[in-house]
Amino acid sequence: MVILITSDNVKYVVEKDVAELSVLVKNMLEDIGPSDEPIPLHNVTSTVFNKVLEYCIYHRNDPPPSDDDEGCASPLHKYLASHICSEWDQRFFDVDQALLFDIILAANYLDIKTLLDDACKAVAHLIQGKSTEEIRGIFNIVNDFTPEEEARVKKENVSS
Amino acid sequence: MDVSFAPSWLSSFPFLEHMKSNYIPSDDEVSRIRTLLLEPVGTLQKVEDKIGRLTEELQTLWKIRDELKGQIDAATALIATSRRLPDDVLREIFQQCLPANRNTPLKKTGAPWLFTQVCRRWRQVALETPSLWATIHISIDTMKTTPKFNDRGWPTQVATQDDSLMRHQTRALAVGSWLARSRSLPVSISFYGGSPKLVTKQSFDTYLDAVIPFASRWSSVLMEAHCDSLIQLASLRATDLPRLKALFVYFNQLSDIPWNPLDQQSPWYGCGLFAAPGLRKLSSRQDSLDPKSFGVNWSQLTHLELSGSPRFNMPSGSKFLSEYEASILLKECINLVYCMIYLSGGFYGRQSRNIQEMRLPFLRRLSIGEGTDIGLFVEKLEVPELCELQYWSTVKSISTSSCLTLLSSTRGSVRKLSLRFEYLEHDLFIQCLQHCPSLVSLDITRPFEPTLSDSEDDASDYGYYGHHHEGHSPFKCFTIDDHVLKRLGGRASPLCPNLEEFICRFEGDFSLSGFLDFLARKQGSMTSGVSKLKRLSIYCLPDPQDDGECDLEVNGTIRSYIEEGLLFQNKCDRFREISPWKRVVGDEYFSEQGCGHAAVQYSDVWDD
Repeated sequence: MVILITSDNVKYVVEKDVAELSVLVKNMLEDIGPSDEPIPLHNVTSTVFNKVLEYCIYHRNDPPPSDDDEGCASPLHKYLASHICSEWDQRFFDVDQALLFDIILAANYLDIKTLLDDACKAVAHLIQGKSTEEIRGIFNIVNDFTPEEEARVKKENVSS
Repeated sequence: MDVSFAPSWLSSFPFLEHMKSNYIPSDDEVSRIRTLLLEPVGTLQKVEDKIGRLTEELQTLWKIRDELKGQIDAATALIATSRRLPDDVLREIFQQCLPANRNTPLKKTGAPWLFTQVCRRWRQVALETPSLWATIHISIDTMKTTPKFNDRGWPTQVATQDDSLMRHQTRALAVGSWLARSRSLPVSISFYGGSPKLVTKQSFDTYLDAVIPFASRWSSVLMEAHCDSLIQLASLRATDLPRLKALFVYFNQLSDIPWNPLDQQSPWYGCGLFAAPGLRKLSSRQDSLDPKSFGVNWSQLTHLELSGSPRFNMPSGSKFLSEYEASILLKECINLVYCMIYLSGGFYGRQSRNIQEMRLPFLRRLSIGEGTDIGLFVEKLEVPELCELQYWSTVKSISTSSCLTLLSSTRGSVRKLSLRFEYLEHDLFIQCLQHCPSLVSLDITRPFEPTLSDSEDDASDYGYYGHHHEGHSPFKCFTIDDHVLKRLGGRASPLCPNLEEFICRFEGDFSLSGFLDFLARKQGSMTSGVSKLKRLSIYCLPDPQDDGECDLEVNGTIRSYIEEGLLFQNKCDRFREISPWKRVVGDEYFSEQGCGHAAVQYSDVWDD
């Protein structure tokens, strides 16, 4: 068992194989060696960690991502990988947008590649078919182009 | 102001009993009523005045609230997680937005172009990610000349040929910028063009002018247009294309003129595209050019497709290749790992004499189609490492099948078998399966029901029967019946005991109880040496009530297998997925408007 403490001081006792889905935790465990010392997760709150943990427990027996997934995989493999998403995963990512982005940041910090990939797919799904204005709304960003830049962007636009 | 008494004045109103009647008060009573109303009318006025003031106050508060909320939202946005996504993560999201089954179409409202218009940071990240720009699908179609319409649907400005050319020129400029952003990466390009009668060659040339400067980085090129429209590409030299590995030639024919192949003087013959030094993968599905004269270094190809122009999305036989000519080509292709070849005798008649021995020692995946019996051809085909066989046939197999000939020569190495036969005798089908003891995946199609024999009574006794043929009794066309299911899941001498994936794309001839027995035997743990099914797709499960079974019970039985991991599809509800756990995507190779066969480039058969 591994003890993890989130940024809001909530303690979690997690099975080692589940905790080690995080490369960050795995490396820390290797560094400190056998110990009961809790591992602090500075950048993750308990609300977000509950979700991360739920994902890791469900996917604990999945085969690890192979090198193929890094870029050598066939286009079809990538296509299938990007489209086959289990119903469980779909339900898992059916959360409000703020939490979805929090999960992405947590996955990035904890270095859980599959969670990060799946969450990015969920965001990609969210913005597909949306206009620039709608995308700005989703990502809480504003149009910061100067009028000259905007004119240039529009000029280079593809006419279709 | 105290208005709480307001409703109570009515209780002492002396005319209360008359209020819901048609009573007509006297003049005195009218005067009295008026006097009695003075106080409540005054109160009403005060209430209305107060409502007015409060409404005004409320509106002011809403305005303040909206302003404050806008300011808070803007400030909160500063700390929103979505803004703090690192560039790498943003890049990954961008990447996930690109189509994964074809090159990215050139479209202003789609990724990745859209990302350059959101904000400065997104633009910078998108422009600094060359992989977003490393594939492009260029659709050069007639819709670009569509006139503009007003609100009432009337054309306001009909695009002239000049307008159209200008739009093509603007898009071609964008193509150039797009490819430049891919920096030094190899690029995959696909062209999809309309009829040369509708889209001028000049329009095509504007795009070709934009892409040719990047020829040294082309890694995969698909050409789906009339060969005259793309003729500029024929001037490329082999040395211009050092990174070209895959070439897809899908030249269209004009539909209103008879077959009109190019003469041997055409610049396409021996052009650099075919002679590219690194070309390993070639797909030729067209009837304009004779593959024999491509000038390809056949011996270095690892992947090869040779067929005629697709018809109704199905490959057809090559008009240029007889079995003899095909054997000459294949004889040279000693490094093939994948081959698709469709033969229908060739336009100039069958030549089945002098067929050459073809030894393909590395071939693992073969897709072969016959429009005429190619038994002699497959007899000369030696494929010792064959693992996957797709066999399509429109030949009426009576006593033998070239597929059986081929399978019997593989010594049981085939693990994946896909059969699409219009006519295949049932016993021959069983013999085919007997030659595949290691089979893991079986996918069978019968495109249409074979013609019933003269007597439908005979047919109902023995299953589906094909035509009567001289000297032969009517044959029973292959089907999936209880007997086949029993053998596929049987304890004694099972057929294909390792079968894990079974797809039957036509309505079988089995009963529900036979089907459930088959499932129980395959999925039951008691049968040792028989693999469990992982995927089962059938065309129409018999109605439980026809077999005296209970709907719910059957659903429950099947669901229990699904919960154990079986991926089950009953295609009666076309493509409806029953499994709650996974989604099937195997049938998603659709042809989108303006995309043609662009997804073909991304089929797994082209894997290294």
